[in-house]
Amino acid sequence: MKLIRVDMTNATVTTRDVPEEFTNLGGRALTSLLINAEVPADCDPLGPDNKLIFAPGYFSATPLVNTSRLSVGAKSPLTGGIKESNVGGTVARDLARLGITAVVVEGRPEDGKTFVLKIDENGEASLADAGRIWGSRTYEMVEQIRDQLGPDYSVTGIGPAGEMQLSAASIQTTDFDGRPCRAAGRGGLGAVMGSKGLKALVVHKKGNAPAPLADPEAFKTAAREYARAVRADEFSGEVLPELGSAVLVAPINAAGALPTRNAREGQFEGADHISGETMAQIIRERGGKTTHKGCAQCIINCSNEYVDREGKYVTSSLEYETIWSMGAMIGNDDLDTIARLDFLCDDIGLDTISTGVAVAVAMDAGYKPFGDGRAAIEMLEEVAGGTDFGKVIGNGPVAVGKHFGHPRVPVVKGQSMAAYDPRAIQGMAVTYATSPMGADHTAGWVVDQSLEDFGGTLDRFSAEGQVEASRNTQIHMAAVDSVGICDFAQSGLAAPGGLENVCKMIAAKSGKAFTEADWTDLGTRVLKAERDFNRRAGFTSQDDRLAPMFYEEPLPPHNKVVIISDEEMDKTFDF
Amino acid sequence: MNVSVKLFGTLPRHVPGYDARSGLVVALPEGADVGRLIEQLGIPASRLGMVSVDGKLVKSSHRLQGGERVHVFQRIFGG
Ligand code: SF4
Repeated sequence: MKLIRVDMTNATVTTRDVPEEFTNLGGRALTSLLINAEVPADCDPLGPDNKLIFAPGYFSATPLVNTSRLSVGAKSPLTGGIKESNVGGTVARDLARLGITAVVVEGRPEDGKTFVLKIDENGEASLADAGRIWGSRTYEMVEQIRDQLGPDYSVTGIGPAGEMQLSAASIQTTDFDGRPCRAAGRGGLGAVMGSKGLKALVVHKKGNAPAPLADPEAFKTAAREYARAVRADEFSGEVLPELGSAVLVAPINAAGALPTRNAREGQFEGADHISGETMAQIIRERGGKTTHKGCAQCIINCSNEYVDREGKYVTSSLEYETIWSMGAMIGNDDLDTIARLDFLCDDIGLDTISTGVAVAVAMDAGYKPFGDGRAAIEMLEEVAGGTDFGKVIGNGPVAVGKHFGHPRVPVVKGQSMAAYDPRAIQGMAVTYATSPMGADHTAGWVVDQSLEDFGGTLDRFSAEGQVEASRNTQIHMAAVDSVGICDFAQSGLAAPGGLENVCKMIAAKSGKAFTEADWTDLGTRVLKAERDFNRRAGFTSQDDRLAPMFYEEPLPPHNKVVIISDEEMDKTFDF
Repeated sequence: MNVSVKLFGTLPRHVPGYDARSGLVVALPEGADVGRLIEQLGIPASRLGMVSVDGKLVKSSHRLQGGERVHVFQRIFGG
């Protein structure tokens, strides 16, 4: 299997076999282990020594459903630590179909040159001058590339925010319909791509050389079983197709855990207007799509197409996190404005979470009133325009806090939290605080375990059991992110015998035995590498803490603060 | 006594005639609890996530007084 190294300093490309020590790895395991091995931990994230790594999941382009996750890794300019952010669309499948296990982008052009990296149908990679594609927003970028190369390529690239190397810049990739609406949002990886002068990675979709399966029949049998479980599950088989992740708005609001107006409250009075149920109704009435396939090989179709009153496309996949960050978090209850902000983030190449929270911090500091959607749109346009204040917003919530001298900045390791307030779900406090990624909800989502009536066993306001739950989930997720299964298809793993089934597939691909203990070892190995990198980058246990506001300000309506002690936090990773 | 009920997620599929805009008014015997309400609505226990009464999450043993707003949610998963 192939590992492509792209040296941006000399504009050269070399393709080699994957080194022995990295065989049978994919996704986050590969990006994090490579970064820990090859990137100097103290390097400038935007300098030549950082590396930007793209790696499809281990299962991408196999017969298993919902496996089109691409892990993107680097040292993060937002957190200063290691970063893996993963994204759907088709690119993971496209790379894996070409037998490409990873693309490692290193160095930096000396003279401000900019490039597009193309990988053709034979898996041959080449750099070309970006020309006038540099400077475009992402929808325009995709159009220009399609004009040049035709429709058979996926496009993964940056917008103006990444070109300006702003810390909230995302890497956008094309969805199943070829729109750049799927984002590796977190950690400012778009800025790293921009620092390397790389506008886009363009990959042919019709490769025909995927990694062989050692035992194709065993793999297919297990994959069929997995798909059956995904379809049979109520949430992935029925709820997500109809409502998408936006279905979470109402219950999380009911639980008092929906951070509102820069996390001053845990319930938003406008939640009804921005709920998944309302969104689906609006989309249906206007003739948009409530059920939409966002990623290759998906059988869930959690995505949607949001349209305006005239039925014209506004954005694709209006999701829970964005509805929160551009809705409740900034006090905005207008879905049309949220959809517009979502589109602008995709088009400018910005993480919707960090950007929404940046806007929320600015509003909290008194720059504009909460709920002023027009002001939020203007702030995003300022980012695209590269004004001084636009750069502050585009550098994320910490930069905004500094700019205004405002202390209420809901972050860990410089990265903003997501749509679950840790004061109302203590387990999320542990995940946010201890994940090597900074505050990241996907790193260890323990909400279901914490809301008792969801069948959970934890008291969400008590510290008891939270550390263990978060640890186990973080280890599990590090493995999930490595095989590249979509989070929403985890019902296949949660079903009886699900994990055993996944282990069977790993063994059936690699030809080597793989047990459930190996699964835990894989997740642990990834986390160890990530923590090792962070330690060498200067992180200590003091960085495994939430922003002071979470310990000091009780969150209405439950009026709780985070009560997990520092000692308990430090027990999360006892390795 | 009556309570007004709103169903979330795909739960309306289990309650024929449910209207998403107006919700539902359900008549219950005095002193009925939330569990009794769910049973009467015909929502299978396996489909139940959580229930809030006047904005607060409650358990199924919560006794209703009449006049409350009850919101019924499905099991969720996320990330
Ligand atoms: S469930 Fe959603 S995010 Fe996951 S693969 Fe399908 S469309 Fe993509």
